[in-house]
Amino acid sequence: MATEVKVPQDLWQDDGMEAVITNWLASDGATVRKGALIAEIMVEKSQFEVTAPADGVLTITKQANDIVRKGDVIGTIA
Amino acid sequence: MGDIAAGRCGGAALLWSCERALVAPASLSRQPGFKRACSRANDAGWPVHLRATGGDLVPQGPDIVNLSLLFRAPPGAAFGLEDAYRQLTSPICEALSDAGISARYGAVPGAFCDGRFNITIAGRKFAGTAQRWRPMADGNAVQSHALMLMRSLDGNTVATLNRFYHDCGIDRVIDAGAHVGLHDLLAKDTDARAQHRILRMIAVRAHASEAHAPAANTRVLSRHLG
Repeated sequence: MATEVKVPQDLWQDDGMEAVITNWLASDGATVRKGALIAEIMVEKSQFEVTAPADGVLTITKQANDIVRKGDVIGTIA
Repeated sequence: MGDIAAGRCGGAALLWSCERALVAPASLSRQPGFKRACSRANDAGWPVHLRATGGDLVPQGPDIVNLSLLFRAPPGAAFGLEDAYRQLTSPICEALSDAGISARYGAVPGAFCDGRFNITIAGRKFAGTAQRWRPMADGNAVQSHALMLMRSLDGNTVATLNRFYHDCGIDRVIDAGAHVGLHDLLAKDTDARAQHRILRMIAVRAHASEAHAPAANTRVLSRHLG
């Protein structure tokens, strides 16, 4: 069963604020370890590091420069 | 920040300044003209450094004082991005208020590294802010940062910023008049002492506000604080 990689739900309060994926640090199809830094997102001049929530193979579903909101799924790990 | 994420340090509040340079977010380095822009800036006496916080291109130098807070934020919705900005900017706004200077928050068109959590005075940018968050097992390690102008931007700085954007192929123009420095707000005969006093108040308040950093260690620069 795949584990979702999500934009954190509780890092900011304003539901209307949009973030952008500034960088994927792991490639689509790469094997990643739980806790590894795999992406960065930016909102209101704040850079958030996204870490892998599980071990496995990463599938990227939102690309760099895509706009995302809190709670959005940006990839999966299976 | 790595020490905080690893649990080796509870937190820190740093008031600091540095030599003249341009500091860019890592994302800017992916612009096709970035290398050429760096080369030209360096030739003009502005070495370029990359940083890990978000935002945009900023100048650094002796007329700029930075406040950096590093701390562990608790997990969950109890402490978020907006809280971190409030924690960072409150000591600055309170110190300015004590000095009779009214400050607000907001974006300023034409300002470098513009953002909603700028500290503004009379509609001009006095301080810019940015953050970086790193997940930990039991919360987040957070670095928040405010860049405060001691003097308004001079023509050389504005020209350097605009040339850098042009070389990167970015359509953005910085306006000197969108900024204000602390020096410009103080009476000429007392500005050195008043500036010293305001920065001292910011340092003390930042240290006291580090509720999430019990091991905070506030360091100050002798050049600005004597």
